[in-house]
Amino acid sequence: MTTQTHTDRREFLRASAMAAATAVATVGMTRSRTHALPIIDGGADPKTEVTWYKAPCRFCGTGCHVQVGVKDGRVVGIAGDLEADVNKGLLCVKGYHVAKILYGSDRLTQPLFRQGDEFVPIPWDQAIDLIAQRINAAPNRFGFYGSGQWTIAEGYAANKFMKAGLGSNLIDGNPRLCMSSAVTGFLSTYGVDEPAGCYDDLDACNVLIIWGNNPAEMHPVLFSRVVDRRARGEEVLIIDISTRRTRTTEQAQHFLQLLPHSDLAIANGIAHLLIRNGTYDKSFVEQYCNFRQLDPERPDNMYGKAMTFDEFATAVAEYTPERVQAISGVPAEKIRLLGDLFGRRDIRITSLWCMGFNQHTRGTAINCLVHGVHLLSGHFGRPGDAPTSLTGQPSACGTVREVGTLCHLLPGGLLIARDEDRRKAEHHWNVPEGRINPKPGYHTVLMFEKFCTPSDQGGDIDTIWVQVTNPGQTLPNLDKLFNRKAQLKNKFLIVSDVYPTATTRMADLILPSALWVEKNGMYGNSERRTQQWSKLVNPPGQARDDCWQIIAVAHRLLELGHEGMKDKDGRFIFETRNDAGVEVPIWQWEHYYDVNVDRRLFEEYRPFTRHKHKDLAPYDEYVKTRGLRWPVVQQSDGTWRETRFRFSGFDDQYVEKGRDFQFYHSVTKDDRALIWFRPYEQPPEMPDGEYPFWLCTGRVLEHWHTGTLTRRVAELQRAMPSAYVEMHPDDAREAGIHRGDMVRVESRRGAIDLPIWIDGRGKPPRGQVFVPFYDETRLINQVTLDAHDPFSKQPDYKKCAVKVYRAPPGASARGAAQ
Amino acid sequence: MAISGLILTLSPDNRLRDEAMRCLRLDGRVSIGEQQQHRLPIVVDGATRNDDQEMWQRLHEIPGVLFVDVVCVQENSMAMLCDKEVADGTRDSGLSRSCEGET
Repeated sequence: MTTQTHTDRREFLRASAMAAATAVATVGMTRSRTHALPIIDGGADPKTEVTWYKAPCRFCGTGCHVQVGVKDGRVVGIAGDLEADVNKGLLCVKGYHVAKILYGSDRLTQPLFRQGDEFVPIPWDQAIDLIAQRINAAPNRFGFYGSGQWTIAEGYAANKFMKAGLGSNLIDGNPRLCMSSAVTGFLSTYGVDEPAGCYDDLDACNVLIIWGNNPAEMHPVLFSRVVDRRARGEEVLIIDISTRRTRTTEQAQHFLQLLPHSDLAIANGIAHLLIRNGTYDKSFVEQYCNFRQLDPERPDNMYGKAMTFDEFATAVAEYTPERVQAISGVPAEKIRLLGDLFGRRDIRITSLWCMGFNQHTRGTAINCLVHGVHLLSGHFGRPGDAPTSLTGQPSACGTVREVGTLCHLLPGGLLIARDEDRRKAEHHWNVPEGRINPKPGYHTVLMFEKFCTPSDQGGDIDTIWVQVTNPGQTLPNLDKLFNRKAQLKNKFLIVSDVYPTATTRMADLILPSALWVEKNGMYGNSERRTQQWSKLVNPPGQARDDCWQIIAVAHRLLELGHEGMKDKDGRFIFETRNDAGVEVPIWQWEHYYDVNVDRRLFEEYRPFTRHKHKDLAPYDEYVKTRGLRWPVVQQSDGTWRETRFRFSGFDDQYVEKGRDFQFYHSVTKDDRALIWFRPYEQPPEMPDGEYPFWLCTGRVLEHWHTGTLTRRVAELQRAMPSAYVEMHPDDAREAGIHRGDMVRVESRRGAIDLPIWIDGRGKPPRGQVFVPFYDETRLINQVTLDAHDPFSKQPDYKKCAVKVYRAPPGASARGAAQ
Repeated sequence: MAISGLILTLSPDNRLRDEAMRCLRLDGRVSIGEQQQHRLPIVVDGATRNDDQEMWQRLHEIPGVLFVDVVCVQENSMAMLCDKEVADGTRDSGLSRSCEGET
């Protein structure tokens, strides 16, 4: 390329970038759907020969849409998608770099089989046969561990393979580690999962309360909506309730720094003030709510027993502002501020939360309490009045929660334990009655505990297949739940992934997978929005779709004579026909894309979604849009209409005409939601003389989850090259530790060595430290606690007791435990 | 290297906003577009591989810049990032622990 040509091209790119930025800035965040830029989907730019397509971003649960520029079979450009309601043309720094995740130099490109300490390439046929033989020999000792990064088709295929095919519920997914307390919170309160509100609430609220969450870094495009409103002169009060200062705090008018685990006291304190001051919404409560508490005679019953309003009032009465201050460290006047705000009818309040609530041994309880505060105050169901949980993965909702790839669920919110639900699923799957096992399988922590226990000592899981996730880094208490596998020679770990990870290190068989736009896919984001994209480029080498891998193993089992791989008419459970009615052998890779398998599986899944009013539109409707929020209901003119505000009469078509609200999946079968009383209790482990610090773990802006993808993006990796410990300067001074020193973080379970960062981006108070979990060379989950919520079974990664001291000379960067 | 189209959300405080504009004008990598009320479109043209991320961090730290959003990135060298051998499946992944840019 000549210098002049190069200069011309750069000038052209600069001009294009400025035009795009100006257009987005002009139309603004509250623009109408008519705008200046063309909608690009499959459109080629003649000047650059780049063709642009739509796709949701691969990273978090926000569900931004990007425009993907493709040229010569490679992704060469990324732009925010102006047509997408979620992000309206904007992206965060991770989305900005998303294309580069495809092109790391160490992509897995062929099946690899462990032989001693070596991995040996093997053909796909051999890999598929190996898995099928292993499952066929002991199907009830095989577990499947999936992900909120599974596409809907992948999760649906895995779920059907296990529950309808093998008759086994030994399938769980990593949302167990991030979202399951939100699920049990929604189920306990409304009788059905997922938020009633949506992102539109962020455009309408007067007060945004952020509970144990850092959206400025973890969901920046959503947080940007609110910052944008304020910059335009709108008054939006932001209240940050957190254990440490973050970039979110910088934008908040009020920062309420609470002691770990004390959020339950704060929520009960608000409820107490609403009742004591007479400012609760009496009309809303009397029409639409019942009160609930746990039943001491059946403490494991998530649905508890009834209590009266007076009993509720008495129960919360002890949570005076002064007592809440004593428990939480939040000044009493700030508790009164919250009580006063919730007591006002002239404002709208949105609460947001994510892992701070969910990774909590009282996760179900605190989720219920915040729903309860919104219900008690009537701040529910109008635009801007919403209790809304966010998700961390792109399809934790769409795949795991909705498709039901957890050990107790069936698709569409149906339950394994309920006879009638199993009959419905067997009907949809056309399998014989009784095929689905009535006993829920093992949740994640238990599944890996069984896998890491010798077979003759009760360890009744011998084989696990992991897809699209990295439990070797994310499980808590790794030495107990993962690393012990190394000593158990009869245990067999299969891992489908795109790069080497902490999990593949322990694998016996590694399968190379296609990633993001290398395959067809659908995701469901945090606001019930289902999104579709199409395959745009080929995966590298021999990498193949995870969905194909499942179907290929299922068909091999059929060939081996496994009766479960047939439906009750004797047909393969994944039988697929083309438009001419001819069966397509989709278990053969060369024929997999002869038909659209995603469409085929999605259309089979859709009838499930109607049972709990989570209706999805036909596949082709999603091809035309940047997603639709369920329930999506067909109108008399044949069009499909999404729902923004569930249970609200003005928007939700399943609410009976003339009613303002109707909780139509009510636990109490009377169309009412439940307001729960759950007391504050101390956490299972607290700092003491030996382990004097609280440890909190989490994410950083530049890296997503375990860093498997973002650590391959040079710009992101360079910006945040390794994990660190955040510590208060006074604690560091007392310990004689200086910025950059290597320290050892040690708990009762393990220890790792990390550099210390004082006065860094996050600022913990005295007595607390924070460590991000993205760095596979410094695994903080060797230190964390595997205690979990009794209902959701979700572990608490946000608090355990540690000591921190200068690491011995020559300390290994990989950690003291290795 | 990458050419990025960004939008800065500026503070409603005139003094801070003016200070932000002054800082931006001093940086030769930044082209400033026409301000749309509180939103300022800019283009960052990084000359070296370190520039874009460093610039991202710096923009966040300018007083008067409330938020930085990304609209697009035009990556001249995106194709070069794809290791042809790996893409063609002709190179063993080797399961190495290293990754691009890892220190």
